[in-house]
Amino acid sequence: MMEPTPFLMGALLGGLYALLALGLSLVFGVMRIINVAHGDFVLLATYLAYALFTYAGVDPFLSLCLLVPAMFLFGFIVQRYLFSRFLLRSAEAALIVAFGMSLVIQNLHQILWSPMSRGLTTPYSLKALDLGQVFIPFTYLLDFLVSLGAMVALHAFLSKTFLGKAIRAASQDLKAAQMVGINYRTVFAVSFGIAMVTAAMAGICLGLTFPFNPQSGVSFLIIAFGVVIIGGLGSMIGTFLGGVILGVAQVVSAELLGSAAQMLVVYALVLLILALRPQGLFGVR
Amino acid sequence: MMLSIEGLCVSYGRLRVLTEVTLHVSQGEIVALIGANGAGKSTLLNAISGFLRPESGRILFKGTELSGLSPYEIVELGIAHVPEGRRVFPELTVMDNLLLGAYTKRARKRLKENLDFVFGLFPRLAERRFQIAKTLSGGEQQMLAIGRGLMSDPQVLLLDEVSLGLAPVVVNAIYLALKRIRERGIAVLFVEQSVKKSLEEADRAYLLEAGKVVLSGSCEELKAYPAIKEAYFGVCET
Repeated sequence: MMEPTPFLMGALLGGLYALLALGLSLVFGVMRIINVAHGDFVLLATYLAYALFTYAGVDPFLSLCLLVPAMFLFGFIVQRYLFSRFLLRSAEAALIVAFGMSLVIQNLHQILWSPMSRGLTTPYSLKALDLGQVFIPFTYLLDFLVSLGAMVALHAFLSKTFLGKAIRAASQDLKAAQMVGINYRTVFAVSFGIAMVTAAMAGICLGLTFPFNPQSGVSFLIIAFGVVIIGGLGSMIGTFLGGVILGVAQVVSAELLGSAAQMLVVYALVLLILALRPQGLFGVR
Repeated sequence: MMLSIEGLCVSYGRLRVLTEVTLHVSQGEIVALIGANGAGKSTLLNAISGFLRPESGRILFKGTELSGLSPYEIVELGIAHVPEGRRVFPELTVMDNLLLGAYTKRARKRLKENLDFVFGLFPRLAERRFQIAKTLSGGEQQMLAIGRGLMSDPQVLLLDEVSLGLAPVVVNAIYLALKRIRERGIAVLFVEQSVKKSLEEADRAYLLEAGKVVLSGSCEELKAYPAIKEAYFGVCET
């Protein structure tokens, strides 16, 4: 009988993976852009939080007050003035632009922070909840709660507000959306902005949980793709469950087979699902 | 004049689809665009609602030139386009589809009033307001598409192939609704596959052939026109 701790830790981590994938999924769902720079955008937030924490002593969660509006604005501008120009040409053009941004940001991180591995080590980083049978690091619990909160809030925004409904309408039928008077450029820019808000939250949680270096964005992107492949695009609940499945697979396989094997198991799972059910376990398309 | 089009030319690349099209629609009028497949009927509607840039010619809405405006700006001015194939938002409820119809600032001010009108016009939509749009029948989806167009508080309603694939009884209900839409002073310009049906339901009609207006006039006049009689009503005068 295995201990319950790895399962619980995997599930909690999976919530964070879902949040990481949420922005990728939203940008693809609305704009049909495969944003290969998503991981680097997430890492950008991690480093900004690191800078605020190290040089100004701002708690990472408190720095969200600054990073959320900043990342929203960043996403809005990137979509409105950069991606929108290339989307008119082709989806491939937007993909190449995203790839270019990824390279620029990675190298910017190298220059600014050096290739050294860093971490967001707060006073609560090493605390843990000891419940006898299970033992949960405090940051994992925080990650999960932040992720769950962000997903519930985004779901409420998309299903209850006028603007949220307009975003869903534009993702379902862009021409019909324009026919009701939706300015798709604005809706696209807002969607990208929201994706970057989720990226900021994911970036801070990841920074608190794992050490990071300028190349970490690539790992973040691969995890996000894995979640989307497992869960399927288009449903928030699918993304959430995809994250949890990936998280549990990773932590449990690390426990059973050693940490060298953990990503191997995750990738094998992703490939298996791609082969058997390419639309993902919960995908509609 | 609600809508007038003067010498409109539209091309897809090097292919000329509309040549020197001139037509007009007045307030409260129901006007049909008839013609074979590929005559340019849908292209004309797409040019009016801003999805296609005309090569030359003018499209005027109440005297304002529309060229260069984006589709969303044209909706805001007061032209609603109900597209071919209905294109309701499939994953949203009937109610959300209608609410989004009133997306523009101007339409939002008259949301309540227009919603009452749409539900009065199509009580079926009121019954199914919480249903997801893709689960509606074809006829109901067509009603929803028209209702969504009306929610934008238009003065001109463009309808593309409203009766395609629908049962005759549903088609009749929809054309009956057009009469009530006209009573609100809304001008209707519709494209219809069936020439016979068009000439029964409209006040006036334009016949497009290979992108040109080749005939126009009141439906009575067109019905009596020998070429139309022969081609579309299957009667030959001896």
